[in-house]
Amino acid sequence: MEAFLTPELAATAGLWVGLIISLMLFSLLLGDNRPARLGQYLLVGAGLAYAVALAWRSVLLPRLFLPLREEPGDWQLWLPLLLGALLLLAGIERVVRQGSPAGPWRVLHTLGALPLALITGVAMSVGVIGAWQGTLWPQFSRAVVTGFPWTSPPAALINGVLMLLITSGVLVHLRSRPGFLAQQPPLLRGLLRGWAWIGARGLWLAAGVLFARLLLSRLTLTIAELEFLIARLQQTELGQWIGALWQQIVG
Amino acid sequence: MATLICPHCGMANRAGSNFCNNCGAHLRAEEPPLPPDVESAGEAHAAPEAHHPGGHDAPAADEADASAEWLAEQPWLRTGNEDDAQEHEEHDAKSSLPYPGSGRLVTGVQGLLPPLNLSSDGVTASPLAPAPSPFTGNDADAVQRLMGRTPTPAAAGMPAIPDTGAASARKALRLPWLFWLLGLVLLLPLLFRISGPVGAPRAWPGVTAAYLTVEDVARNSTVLAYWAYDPAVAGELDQVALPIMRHLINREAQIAVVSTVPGGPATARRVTAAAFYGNEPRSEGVNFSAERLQIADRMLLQNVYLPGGAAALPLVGQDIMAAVGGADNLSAPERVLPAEKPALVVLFAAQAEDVQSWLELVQPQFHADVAVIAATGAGADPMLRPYLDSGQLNGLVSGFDGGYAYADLLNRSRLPDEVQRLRTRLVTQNWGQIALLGVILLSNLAVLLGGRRES
Repeated sequence: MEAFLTPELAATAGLWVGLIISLMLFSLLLGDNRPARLGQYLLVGAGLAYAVALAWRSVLLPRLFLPLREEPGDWQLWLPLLLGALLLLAGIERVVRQGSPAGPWRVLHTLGALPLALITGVAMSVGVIGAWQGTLWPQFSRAVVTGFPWTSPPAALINGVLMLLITSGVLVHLRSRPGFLAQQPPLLRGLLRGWAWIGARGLWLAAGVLFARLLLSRLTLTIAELEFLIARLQQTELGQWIGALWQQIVG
Repeated sequence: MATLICPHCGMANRAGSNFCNNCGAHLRAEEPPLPPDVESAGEAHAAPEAHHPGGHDAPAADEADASAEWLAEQPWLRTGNEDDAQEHEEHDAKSSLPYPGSGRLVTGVQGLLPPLNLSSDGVTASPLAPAPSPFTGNDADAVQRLMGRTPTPAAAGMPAIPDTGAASARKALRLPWLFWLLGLVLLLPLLFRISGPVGAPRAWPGVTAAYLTVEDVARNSTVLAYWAYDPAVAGELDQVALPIMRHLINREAQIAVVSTVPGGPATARRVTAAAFYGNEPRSEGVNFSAERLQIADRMLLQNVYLPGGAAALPLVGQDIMAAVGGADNLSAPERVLPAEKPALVVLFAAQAEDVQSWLELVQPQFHADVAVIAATGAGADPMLRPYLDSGQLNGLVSGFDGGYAYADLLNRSRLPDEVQRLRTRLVTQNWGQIALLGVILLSNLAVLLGGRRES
């Protein structure tokens, strides 16, 4: 098998498979079609299969089953195995039961909720604490501490004033529902409306910057893919033949 | 009207789909024509705010108009009761499933990019449906017209107009052509190897700081690399990761890779091998041999997949050996990760969320002892700037231009082939940006002129 599947052959096969699947996915530009769907399913399937193999090779086997064989009495190893088995059984029940009403096996589905609840609870608590200690508090501290003393250079002063104006403007804009504005005195209403106007423009500007950078990211990705395909195609005999033909045409 | 119910499994699919998202059945072949009364009834249900029957009192109507106008200006706030119609549609779609919980088994698989939805009006959310469109009301109408689609009555605020052949023909015309033209603009410099004029990519703040942070690391220090990208986005991220990995190898750093993405470890060793041999991972071709990958394995202290996603990250901060314990470096078992804190952390991530997760869950446990730099995609850059300003990140390298600027700082003599390839890539990038700017400008002009003509 190893003699047959040489690295060179694997690389060439990878090139053609990659090229064909890329074209299948690009065909989505012509509308929804079977090759495009097949390409997506192949990608998802291959990705999941790889994840399963990796989880077995680098997690389940070395961190669960091999230690369990050495120390069968260790309950700390049996607990994750039990929880994992419950989750797996719930998944199997769901796959097997597809298309039929829930029966007595529904209990597996319910038991599967236990590990899921554990995972969700841990993830939520970790996430909330992390958001506080890693984002909310440091960013708030930074905003409060920064300030801008009146002796700052003009550029820093303008920057600070703009930041304050736009931040507060966004808050006013998000708060200023029509009913809320109507309740304010005329002078304050005008002021708030103007402030909210600045905030709205600030929001649009931020969204524009986000969109532009995202577009740039996708552009780079597309260029890299096209470049990769062209470069790899040029390494094949077919690519060299097309290149020679092209040279004759262009001169 | 804008959803297609699968005749096979009953799943509601997005309008325009040819195949069911749930069972894959062909939707067009068995699509029964809707009687006109059913169609109009559906529209009345989908857009109750578009019709203003006389009879309700004027202040209430004014209040509703003002509220709708306010919401049209702030579509990102449409998450509450305003979206009742859409929620009802989602509920209908769910209740149309044959039994509870019989929806899609796997959704949101990482690496697949959801398509941009140009209008959410009347489109039922399906498991694969993208987020609601930011375009609503007149904006949606204008965008739909621009893209050659017939505006939905809900968006245009008018009674239903039966779809004609002319409208269908127009529907398939403009958007694909736009993509084809953009693709052509990108292909031209690549095919003809156009390498000038190039200009210089912008070196955003944070690149030099990242370079200096790596430069400050003592030789033979342990560097922890959090690898949060896989081959799906390697086209962009490799260009950012490669110069940093080269720099780390030059500094003789002992690199340990931890990844929460299944494809992360394989990508890491491919990039490490390429950085070591001075090549690009995606242009290696058949010369990218197994021997080279094995050498990359030996260069890395650890290269492990950490299951559990962000929830497992705090363990890395508490006890890194417990986090990666058991999953030894199979190719080089003699190389053991030291228990002390690393000298530097490098975050290779396509999404801003991965960097945020690290800064929120792991970095507080390292305190300020451990420097951290991020190498990300261009799209993540604006979200991470505040972390750079607050000092939580010591450096930030993002996107093609960030990688290019970092490689310039390395001051490595480049081979003529590499210079030619980089110049061509830069020209292509410039052409693409100019084309996109042109599309945006022309689109705005078309909307502006179209609006004037209609008024």
